[in-house]
Amino acid sequence: MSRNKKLFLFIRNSKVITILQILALIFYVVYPLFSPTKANATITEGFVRFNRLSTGAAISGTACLKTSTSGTETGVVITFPLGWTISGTASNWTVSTSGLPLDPADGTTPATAWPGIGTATSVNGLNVVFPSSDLSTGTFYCFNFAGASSTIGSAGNDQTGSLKTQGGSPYVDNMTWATSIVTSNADQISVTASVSATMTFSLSGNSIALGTLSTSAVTSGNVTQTVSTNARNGWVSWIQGTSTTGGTGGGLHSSSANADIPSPSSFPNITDLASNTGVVIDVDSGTGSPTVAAGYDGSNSTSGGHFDGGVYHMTASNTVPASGNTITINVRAKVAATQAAASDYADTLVAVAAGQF
Amino acid sequence: MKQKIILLCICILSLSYLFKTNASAQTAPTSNNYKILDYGFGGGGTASSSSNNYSLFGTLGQVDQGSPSSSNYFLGAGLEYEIMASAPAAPTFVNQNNSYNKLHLTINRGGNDPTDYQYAIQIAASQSGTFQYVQADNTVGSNFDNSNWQTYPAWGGSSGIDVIGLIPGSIYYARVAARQGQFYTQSDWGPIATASTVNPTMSFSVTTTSQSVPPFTVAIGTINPGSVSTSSDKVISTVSTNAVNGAVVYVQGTNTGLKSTTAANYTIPSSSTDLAAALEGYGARGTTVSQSSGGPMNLIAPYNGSGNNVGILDTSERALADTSNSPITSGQVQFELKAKAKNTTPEASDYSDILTVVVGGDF
Repeated sequence: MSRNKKLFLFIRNSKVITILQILALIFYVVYPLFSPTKANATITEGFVRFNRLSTGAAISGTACLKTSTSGTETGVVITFPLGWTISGTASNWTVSTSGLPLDPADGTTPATAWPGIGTATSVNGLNVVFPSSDLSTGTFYCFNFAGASSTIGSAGNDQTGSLKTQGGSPYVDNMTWATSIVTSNADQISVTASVSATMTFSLSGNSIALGTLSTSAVTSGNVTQTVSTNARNGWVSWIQGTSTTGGTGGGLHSSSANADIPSPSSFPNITDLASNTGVVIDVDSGTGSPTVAAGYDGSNSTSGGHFDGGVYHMTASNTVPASGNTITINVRAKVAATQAAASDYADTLVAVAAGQF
Repeated sequence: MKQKIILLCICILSLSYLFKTNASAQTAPTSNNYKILDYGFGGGGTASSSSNNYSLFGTLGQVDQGSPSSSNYFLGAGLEYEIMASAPAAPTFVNQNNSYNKLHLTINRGGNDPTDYQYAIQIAASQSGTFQYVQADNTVGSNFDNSNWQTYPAWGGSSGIDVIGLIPGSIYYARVAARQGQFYTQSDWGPIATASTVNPTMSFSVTTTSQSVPPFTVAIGTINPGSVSTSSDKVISTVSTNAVNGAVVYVQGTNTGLKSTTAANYTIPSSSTDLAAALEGYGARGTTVSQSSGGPMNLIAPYNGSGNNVGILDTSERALADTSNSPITSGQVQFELKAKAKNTTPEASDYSDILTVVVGGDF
């Protein structure tokens, strides 16, 4: 090989070397501009919690993430475990941001609604992609999701999926999670209980002394009836007289005079003793506002209804459980001028109540 | 001539690249005690060639050829090899806690490593096969500059560090290099150590004290108005997970309390309250927690009350217990159900609710 040829080759090779070195130099200068500074970003915490863990149940749950990665998120991808039925229709995957959980890290910080979250934009196999806006680092973000026509797969432990945020290369964050799926309804407990029936009944007194009756004024006396019950349909109370010797089947009887002060008219008619004589019962509603039966719902302090000996007539009722419902049972009387004088006019009234269970 | 100038420029730039990669400061070899005044090179460059960006040094008595080696050693030649730090042994590289995203690495420095040695750690995942570098924040990245070089104490000393942000279920390969001195001349990368991350795990079950398989029913029994009734059966939820932040057990009701259809859907409302003082109510109270390891399992307020203090059971998922933000094995929480009726709570035998108990791992 001649000296000139060697020189030519040297020069030619030198040119090649120069070009290569220039290229290398350019690469050296430019490469750092495109070199990623962080390949595997870290997540402070994150989870995908499902509302049901039973095989075959509809898929819904909550996804949360607290990132420590600086990046501009543009989407969030939930990848579900193998074998789950995932609807391929993006619009079936809806979201909400109500009722979000507290940050488990401290148990007190409420989650921040995931910015930009919305109905899924695409579904690819087990991957459901939702829109997202940029996330700040150190903030606990969450959103609820639900997938129509999507169901949880077979029972088993360690079923893994992932929660990834788009906007990086290829992701800003990539978190793998695991869940456990139990057999059908093995995540639920049926709780049962019974509430026992209760009923209490009382009268404030067991005698009403009307004293000397007048031929011109109406004389009244009363007792208070109290009913408590948890009967779900409420209660009903009744009253009856004992004497059956009155002209119409009830009233006050005097043994010494063998005479009666009758209860006028008949049930459920109201008689006003202002213009009549006899003995009547009038009921006033009290605590709990029980409903007074029409037959004893006198409109004033002189009127009332007929009572019979041996026959119960309804005095009042309520349609809901009662706690201390009261009624006032008034006995009113006025006698005629011809009423036989005696000091032993009397009757025994019997008041009862029952719960409507 | 032009060609020579170009070649000289390229050589200078190339040397600049070399020293920028492996060195952070270039000054002449001098100190308070000595100064090398003059030494020469054969046909090479100038002994004291330097600029703001590079320095050239040389030595005598070295031949830049021939590198005796075996499987156990390598003997290089030249100044660079002479001042090169010793290659560290393979690091101790293990998965300490059944972790899925971190591995524990401890540098095994040589017994005579000076304290000013700095180390860098290379790591590769099985999937990529490409070595990256452990960053100063213990994550893994492609960035490799002075920030990747840290002293032994900075890398955790004998306690080591957790290399974080790793890929679950992967084999990782790690090796360490050292550098020291003015030129920070980097050693070769040491032998490789291997460790593997596992996949995230989660197991979960629900039983009751008398039922091991579903359907599960817990009877509160007959509630006498004015008295608190408690279920004899307790609900047991068991969870194991390697989630680094632990797990939370949630409970949710179907109603807002105990509902009776025969009583016109009357509902004994649930709230977080002391049933001893309340007229009416329904809720859950955690009774015991336990675990085989990890955690510990922890009852969360208001489910951690005593006596007849209960936590609400409504249609929201309520955090019942957690694992203290730590992985756990066989963590277990038991809770009972309590109810109280008032005098006007309608009598009925079909009060019921359906509780759903779920767990969420915080990975």
